[in-house]
Amino acid sequence: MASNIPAKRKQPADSKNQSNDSKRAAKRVKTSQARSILTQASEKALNKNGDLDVSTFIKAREYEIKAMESSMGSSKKSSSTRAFQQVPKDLRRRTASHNVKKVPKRLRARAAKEMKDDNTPTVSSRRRNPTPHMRLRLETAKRLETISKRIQAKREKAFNAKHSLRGPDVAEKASAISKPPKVHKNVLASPEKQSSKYRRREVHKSWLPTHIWHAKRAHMPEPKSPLWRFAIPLSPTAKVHRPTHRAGSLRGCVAWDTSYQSTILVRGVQASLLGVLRALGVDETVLGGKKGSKWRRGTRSWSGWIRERDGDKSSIAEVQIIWCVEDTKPHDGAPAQKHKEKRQFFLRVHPSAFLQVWTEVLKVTKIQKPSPDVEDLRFQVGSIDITGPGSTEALVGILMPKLQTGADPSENLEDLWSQLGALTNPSALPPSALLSFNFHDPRLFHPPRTVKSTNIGYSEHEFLTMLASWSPDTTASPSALFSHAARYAASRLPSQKAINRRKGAALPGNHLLPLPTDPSIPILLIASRAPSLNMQGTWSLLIPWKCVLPVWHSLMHYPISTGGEPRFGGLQEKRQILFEQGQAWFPGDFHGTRAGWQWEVIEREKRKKAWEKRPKSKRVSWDAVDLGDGRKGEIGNGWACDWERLFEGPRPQETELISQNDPSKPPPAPAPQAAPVPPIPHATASELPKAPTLPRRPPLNISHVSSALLGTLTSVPSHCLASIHITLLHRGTPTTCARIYSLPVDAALRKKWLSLFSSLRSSASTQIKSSRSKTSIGDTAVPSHVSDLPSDAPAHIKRQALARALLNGPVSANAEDYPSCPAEEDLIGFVTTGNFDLGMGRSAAVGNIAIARVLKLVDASENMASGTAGDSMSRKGKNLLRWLKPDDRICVVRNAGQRVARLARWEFI
Amino acid sequence: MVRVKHRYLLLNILYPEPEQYPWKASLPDTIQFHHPSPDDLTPQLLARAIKDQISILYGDYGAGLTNNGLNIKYLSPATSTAIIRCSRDNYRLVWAALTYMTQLPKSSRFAQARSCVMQVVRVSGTIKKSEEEAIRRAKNAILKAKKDAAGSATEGLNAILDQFGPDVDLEVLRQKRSKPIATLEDEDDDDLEMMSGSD
Repeated sequence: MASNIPAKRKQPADSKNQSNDSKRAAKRVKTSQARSILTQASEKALNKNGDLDVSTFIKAREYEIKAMESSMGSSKKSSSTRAFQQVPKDLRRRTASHNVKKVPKRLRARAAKEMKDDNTPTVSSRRRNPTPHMRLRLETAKRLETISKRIQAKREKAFNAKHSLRGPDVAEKASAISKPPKVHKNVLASPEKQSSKYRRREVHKSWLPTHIWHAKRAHMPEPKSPLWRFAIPLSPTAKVHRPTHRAGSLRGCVAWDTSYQSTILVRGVQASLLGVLRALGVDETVLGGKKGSKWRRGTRSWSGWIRERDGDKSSIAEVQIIWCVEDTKPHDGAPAQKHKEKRQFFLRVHPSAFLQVWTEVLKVTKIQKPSPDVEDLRFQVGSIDITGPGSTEALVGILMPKLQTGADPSENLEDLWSQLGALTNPSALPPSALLSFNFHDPRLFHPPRTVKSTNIGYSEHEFLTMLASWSPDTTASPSALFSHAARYAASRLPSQKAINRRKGAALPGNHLLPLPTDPSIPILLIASRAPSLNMQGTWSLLIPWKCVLPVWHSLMHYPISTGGEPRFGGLQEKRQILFEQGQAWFPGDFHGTRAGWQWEVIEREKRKKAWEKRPKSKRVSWDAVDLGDGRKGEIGNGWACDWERLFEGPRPQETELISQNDPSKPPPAPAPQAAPVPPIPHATASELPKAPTLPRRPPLNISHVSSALLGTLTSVPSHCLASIHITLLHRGTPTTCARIYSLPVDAALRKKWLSLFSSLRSSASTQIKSSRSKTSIGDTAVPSHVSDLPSDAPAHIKRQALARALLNGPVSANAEDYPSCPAEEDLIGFVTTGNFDLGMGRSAAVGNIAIARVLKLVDASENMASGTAGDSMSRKGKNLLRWLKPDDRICVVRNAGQRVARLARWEFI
Repeated sequence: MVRVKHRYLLLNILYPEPEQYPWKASLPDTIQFHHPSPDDLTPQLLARAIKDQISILYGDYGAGLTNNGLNIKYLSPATSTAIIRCSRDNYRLVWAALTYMTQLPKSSRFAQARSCVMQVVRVSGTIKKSEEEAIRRAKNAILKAKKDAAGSATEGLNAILDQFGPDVDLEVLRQKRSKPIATLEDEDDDDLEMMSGSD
């Protein structure tokens, strides 16, 4: 009996004891041998006469080098590693440690031997004896299967009986189904109704087309608290922070399913469409001037901020607007009719601001005459974003353009499309370039193959000429994506079964030949540029909702020529890439908009809960935070970007506490929120227009102002926020809710911070030289470091500078003379996103600041310096962006709950 | 599981008094300083000498602290190089003991006393790093010996203390200086670099 039981791992049975001991001893000898380093006796270093000699000296050293090297090699070899440890980290599987078949083939023999030596039990789940509980479940499943089979057979029989009764009718019905459904104008769209079996899973939200793919690989939001009524993947389950940075900027590419982005179609006469855009606050120079002529023709896209028409004209969201290309085909009608010709454009917006934009657009179109139609294409047009050096190549590899019969321009386009495979950065294309064509079902060409180096026939010069001349600007024809019928036709793809059948009939290793009956899929490709040319641009694909999944599957399997496959990202990765490009993310980084404020309210609640969850001894005690100079207690709520506190000052209850500031009293309970925040509503799409319980608009008339608008303003409303990018000049990493101060108005403290700034400059200038920071740090002050000196400076001066740099050493925040944090009056804003920027190699942040407050503080400090109070308004009336000098853009950032503040520099985004 | 941490000291045994030996004085000083050690200097002998020195300097307390884990990993008489392993907490005691050793240990009572200098050139957390340093030093020594033999011999103290080779980089020196040495020693770093020449 006992002999049947397999011995437990690493606990040998008694009978084997003897042999195991000897084995172990042998192993010990082996390792100790591998680790020993060979030595030579001293006579080897002496010559024949026993004397010292140069040649023997050298020989002895050479022998030593060899001995050391061989010892390093052998000791590394002797270290025990298992076969499955040689597999790259992201390909390792838990099951590989006990199932040989999960290890790559080349390692399988070794793994099998190791498992045998180690006595690892190898069981596959298929052959494992089920536990009693599992057996019960399996039996039930089996029983249910037979029952369902019986029911299905019964239904089929009934259906067939019906079918045979009225055969011809059904055929008619089938042809009727292929007609596109009615277009609903000025009405919100609802997602496609699922069969009753699957209806419950989309009750509170809609799934993206790739939901099931993502749900296996990424963290998804809680089923009952979706993001903006979509189940949007948050972040891959694997650790991807660094890989995403690398794929997004150095090698490979990152893709997102961004089908959650809402698309609105507006159709009407050009004059009224322009009227709509004007009412939405689109810049007049783009609407009328030469600048936007290509965009208005429909060959380029445009993205910018739109505003409310009425009231305080507050900014709503950043949107992307794409016109349908004018139909240039000759018409029979008179040229006068051209004005009556209907045109259309897509307006794409983030789902958080969709409802606001939709109602605004509806309102604005009603005013126009003739009033344009508005269509909600939310569940008809899906999209994919892809960025990185391999992005263009991957797209070229999976999207095969479909030739339109007898059309020359499209042939040209196919040529151009295949040439683009050599492009390593979409930013190299003309700004916001647009490509539209039809392509084949990517499943016909699955699995995709690496694009061959396409520019063999072309010189680099020709390639650059192609990019510069950009023929689609002249040859573009209207995209089929704007046509309801074409979208519908493309969404009725042949089933996977049908494709598989064709694949089975085809020769192995060959791609399928497209049939004339295969649907062609319309696509709009938009290349958007990053703010700086050395960063990667992004491709956005607009395709019918139903076609996203096949394209996604092909994309994820495309073998990039530089190795690997495209990565996928979630919301977190989107934010990361934008952050590394120095851009802000909508809505989270725009607290002045309604969507941004709602985001902040939700996040605030989350951070508060996380804080409350921690035991008292382990969480930050906000009231005990030491701000230096005898000040105590965090400004406002530590878990919030407390704009209420910034604009309105301490609440009455708080002022009392601050004035007393008595440590003997128990700390007060955190101040109640300005407005209690009800939980997020879980409304279905049909309930959309009903008022959500989140705040309708930011409190205190807080509004957002974009930098483009800021350039035209001469005075700013007092509660206006702008987004900024912050680069830290010293150490420290700001996090969300960090407080942003301007340089203190108080002269003594200001002097301290400025001297810190100049000392940082001297020590930092050598380090930062190579980093691609947006602002050069040394642009005004006098040279105080070796690198600042001119190259022909006298040697003694160089030496002095070097000695000074050596003696000063690095600035430490623990030093006694480190300046304390500025006062609350100097608070200008909050950090919304902060992290270490892998691209720049230093900490950075994105934040919001109250513009009016900055201007006031700059005025105050200048008056203090000049001693006059009168001419503060002298700079008024000038452009606000030029108003601020570089030195006015130095700020101090302090994390919530911390004492130490850090110097930084900010720029408008 | 707690990992026992060690420090590895790379050691050069120098012979600054070449006149004791009847060999030619015409050889460059580099070679004479890095004279081969006598064959009777075994690892066991060296270990015992270190332990004795520690108990002289620090008494039973020091001996008790360092006794555990002290191990001569490598001792090559031909090149007068050694790698000594000791516990991480007390490597400074071992280092001090080595510094105070002015004579090679005697293998027997009648053996001749030979004066020497024990120079610790590298402290590292892994043996690999000290091996790499030994290789680097051996390569430098070969180059230097060839150069000196060719004619331009550097004499005296410079021959030993010229750690950085002919091209001293001011910038490198500056960076090394800017790191406070005390914190460097305390760092729980596996690759702990310490140049005795720069101290």
